[in-house]
Amino acid sequence: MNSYPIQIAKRMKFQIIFSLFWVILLSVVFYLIYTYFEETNMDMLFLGIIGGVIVLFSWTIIYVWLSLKSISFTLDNDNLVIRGGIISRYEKNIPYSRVQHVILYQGFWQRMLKIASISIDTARENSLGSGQDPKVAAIGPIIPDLDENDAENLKKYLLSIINKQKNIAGV
Amino acid sequence: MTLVNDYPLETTKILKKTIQSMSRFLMFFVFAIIFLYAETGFFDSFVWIFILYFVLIVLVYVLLKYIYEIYYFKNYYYDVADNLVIKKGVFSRNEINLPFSRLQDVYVDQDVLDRIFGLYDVHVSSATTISGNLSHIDGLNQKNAEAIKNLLLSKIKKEK
Repeated sequence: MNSYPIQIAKRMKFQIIFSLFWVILLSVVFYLIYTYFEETNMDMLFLGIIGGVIVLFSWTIIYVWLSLKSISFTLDNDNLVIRGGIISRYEKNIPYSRVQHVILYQGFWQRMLKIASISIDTARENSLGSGQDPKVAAIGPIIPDLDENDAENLKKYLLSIINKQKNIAGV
Repeated sequence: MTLVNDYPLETTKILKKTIQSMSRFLMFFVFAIIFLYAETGFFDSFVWIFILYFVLIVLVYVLLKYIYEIYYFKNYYYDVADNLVIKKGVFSRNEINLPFSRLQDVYVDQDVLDRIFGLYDVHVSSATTISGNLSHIDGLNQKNAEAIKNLLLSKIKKEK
């Protein structure tokens, strides 16, 4: 939905600063350990570890960016549609009449950044009965990193639609 | 007139939750004492220093946990306007909204420590597995627990 954009810029700024902090911290720690041992053949090992850490964090940053860019959602008449996926695309269609709950979640850093995630769920199991991709099936329908106020409004809007649509078959 | 004001949680919940997290330490501590006695007979002063440090660490932990539980208690919010809303969390905020038409059951229970303190726990569940973990109001006294339970049941009944 265009009026509730995912705050990619905020999240990416945070990820980069966060990663930089950890890379520097780990580098200092490893450097101290390295100088304590005073063995010259640890040179390559030290550089290797630092290089590995940098690669790990860079990969995480790129992955987060790509996956956030790929997520989009729309509110149809009867369903909420969430699309996403970097290499393999998924599209989840969630009928309002089957929604069981709406969760508004703010992790610690999300609170600092004033962003929140919305997750709704239906009476599905986490197991891979219908041959879904395991990662996609496990998380469940989630819209991450919305602005706080947008998330609140979207939550209210969803709840009002859900309450209007009476559930069929008692679920 | 929100539910959390009409039927508030009991403050003894703070104590109960702190003690609950200490129980793990307690087990370890008892075993450590038995082991140390068997090995050294407590003649070695080193053992006493170790015990002292351990007790200090545990005390600091308990103090921090107690403060955390106080804030957890203060931030706990629940209400039954159009939906059942339960908000909790100190560092990370978690809010679950459950429409009454989707509630499957309401139940009240007590764990061991709850029984000691006289606290009750109201659970609701919808047809999901995770809602069972999130959607409960614990730390009520019997009167409030019964009242909330009946209120929820009557709301569910209205939503045919």
